[in-house]
Amino acid sequence: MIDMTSFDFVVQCGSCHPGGGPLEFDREGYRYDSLMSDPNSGLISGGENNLDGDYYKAQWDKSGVLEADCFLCHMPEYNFSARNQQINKLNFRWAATTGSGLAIVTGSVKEEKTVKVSYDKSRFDEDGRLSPHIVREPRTQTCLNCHAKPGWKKRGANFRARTDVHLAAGLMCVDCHPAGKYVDDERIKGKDVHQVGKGDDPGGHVRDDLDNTCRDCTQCHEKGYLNAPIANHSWLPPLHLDKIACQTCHIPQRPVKAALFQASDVFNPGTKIPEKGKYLWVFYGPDMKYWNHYGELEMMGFDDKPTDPYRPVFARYKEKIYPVNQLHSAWPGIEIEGKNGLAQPLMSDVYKMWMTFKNDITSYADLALIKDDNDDGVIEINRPEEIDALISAVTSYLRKTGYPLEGKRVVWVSNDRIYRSGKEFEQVPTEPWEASPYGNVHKYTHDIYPARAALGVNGCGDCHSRSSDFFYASVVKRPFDEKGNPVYEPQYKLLGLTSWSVSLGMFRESNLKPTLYVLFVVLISLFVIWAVDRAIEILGPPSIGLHHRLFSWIIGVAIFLLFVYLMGHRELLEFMLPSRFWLDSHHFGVGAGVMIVGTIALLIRLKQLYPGRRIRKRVASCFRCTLIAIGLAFAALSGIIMLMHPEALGVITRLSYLVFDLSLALIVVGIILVVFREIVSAKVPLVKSHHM
Amino acid sequence: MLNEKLNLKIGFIILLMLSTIALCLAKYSQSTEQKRETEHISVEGVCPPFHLYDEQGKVIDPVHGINSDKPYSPKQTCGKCHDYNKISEGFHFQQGRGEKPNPLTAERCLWVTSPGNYGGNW
Repeated sequence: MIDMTSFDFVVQCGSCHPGGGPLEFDREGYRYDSLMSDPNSGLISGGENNLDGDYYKAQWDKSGVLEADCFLCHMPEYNFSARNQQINKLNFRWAATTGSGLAIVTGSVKEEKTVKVSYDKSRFDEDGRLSPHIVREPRTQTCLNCHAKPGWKKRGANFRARTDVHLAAGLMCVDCHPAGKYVDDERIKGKDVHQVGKGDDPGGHVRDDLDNTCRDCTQCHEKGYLNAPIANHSWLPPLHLDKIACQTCHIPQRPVKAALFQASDVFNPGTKIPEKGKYLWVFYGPDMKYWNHYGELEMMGFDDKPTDPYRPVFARYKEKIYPVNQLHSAWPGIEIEGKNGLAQPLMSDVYKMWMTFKNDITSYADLALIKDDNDDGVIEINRPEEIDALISAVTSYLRKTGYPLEGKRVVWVSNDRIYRSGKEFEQVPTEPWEASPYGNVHKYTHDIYPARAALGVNGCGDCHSRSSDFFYASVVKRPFDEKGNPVYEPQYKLLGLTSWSVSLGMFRESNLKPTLYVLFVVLISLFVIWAVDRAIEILGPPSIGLHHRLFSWIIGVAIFLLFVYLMGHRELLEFMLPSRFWLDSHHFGVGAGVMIVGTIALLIRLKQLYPGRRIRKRVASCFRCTLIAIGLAFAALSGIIMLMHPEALGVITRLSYLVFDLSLALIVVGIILVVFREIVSAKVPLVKSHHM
Repeated sequence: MLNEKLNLKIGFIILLMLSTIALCLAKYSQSTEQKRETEHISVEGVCPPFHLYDEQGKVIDPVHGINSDKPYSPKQTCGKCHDYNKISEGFHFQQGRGEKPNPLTAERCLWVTSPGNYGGNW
């Protein structure tokens, strides 16, 4: 038994591989075709060659190798389809020639028909030289020839101007993923260096030493590279940018579906699935409904994929919150005695097992126990007897094929649970961002929404409210319970937060701050009454009656009632008064204003009180003054903690945000009481006295 | 008077010599600029017309019927000016070949031999 060989790799994977590397050299560094053609090598074309994975049943001497094909990226008119046809025919050494459009290639190594080349002479000058259309920077479509399809399935990447502001602005892939001597990062800079700038995907570990060599958001949006608008987050407390990645707020929604759950244990009943092996991959979308991804791809093609917007899941990766796709997984594994980790049976074997059962239900009859418990038209493994049935059937199949099972056992793996039987499982550790140690996690970085659609554009309540998905969305914890329904948990748990800490923030933004703003209106109304009273006193007629006092009260109450009316008419409210976003984004100024006014009110009141007494006694003797003084003290203390936000203080730092707003409310209440006292105690005489 | 005339002549000759030198320098720098510009063009990102070469490094010239039954070799052709080995070190080409898998992945997935598509799909 042998898995995919290097030769198979070229045939099956070469269509998305630019050549060179393992498509040219074996693992010892020898060029495949040269070694196989060397009679001293002992290699036989098409032979088993001692089960050497580089030469098992390979025909390198006839097919040649796939060298790194420069034109594949650097010639915009490159013909990928023609190139891939040559690969399928095992005409590896001719693939570059036909892909470049320089010649027509006929014949096939696979079919043992002589391969012939016929060049297009019109492409050459009189000296037989070429001056083809070559570009330094590949076009976006060139990158998408390989990256489009795999980008859809588990990443939900659309890579289109319709759904990405950067592509809509005319940027190309290489603007963020550069290579060569013009890049900024020294790790990938240099003439002929083709290490393309890459990000840092949790599930990707090729050249981890080159993580984050791509241009990140700040390189353009803080420095203005390529005339990028400079990001202005002056309205946002800086704490957020320390904890939350740019993508989290700027990808509030994904436009196309990505698979959330991949079940590799049951047969996919979908139609138009193009290859046998893919019948073993059953996908479920973000809504945990069955999704025939391969059928859609086959029928619609990548360019016409449908729009299926959904909200991404948030997870912490390297201490920052990112929007991610955490893939959940279910599959048959093989436990090996004495080893950590798992092996797996060949997917082709599991496929053949299911096909045998479908053709004859008495073969591997246990599989009939696996039912569709949730009536979605697809069977799923979620009950103990179904788990036992799969383990039994796979074990039986492997035994029949002669697979050596000594010291091994077949298991069923569901996310982080390894089931040895339907009732016995072991839980294995996962990283904080993983749903399954065997399921990819992809950070979302493409398909960025416009700035005006970002989280927070409506104020702090976009996240810090009861209706906010940021904390309270239901995220899938397990694909199925015993009834075949997904098991959910609240989003905040996935972020490692507690219910009470989230509730505090929600209370502050959804209850406390609105109350504070209403108190402002009350204060303004009272202040208007006081001011009108003073105006009447100074400018009014010699005799001031009760009706004059009533006049000021009517104005004050009218202002308050107008506000109440506006609360029911949002557009009018936002037109006439500062918006919630404005108030939230100027919270520092609002807070400072409250503290200044509170201090003034306190000083005025203290001056009126018992002039001979000490300040402390004056404060203590006046309830209003006590309120304002306490409010000022706590506001100052919590404000300092907020500004410095020491991580060492942990919970206290978090609480300081709430304490600050509570303190402001206390101060405003104190000021209201002071103003109210001034209004009611004003001794406005019925008749003004005039001293001669 | 005679001295004045002599001084004038000498001054004129000196001026003439200086002008000639200046002119020559100007022409030299211009030609140097042009030469440098040409070098710049040929070295800095613009490929001159080039021949195709086959895997053995022999010229393919379909116009004159030379070796025109052979497929061209990107390595032999582009490699005449560009460092093919350095280029193909890129991870797009290697796809994990020669790299050890991430330790955690290797512990979890016993079938994985590299972090990339070549030997590592997990």
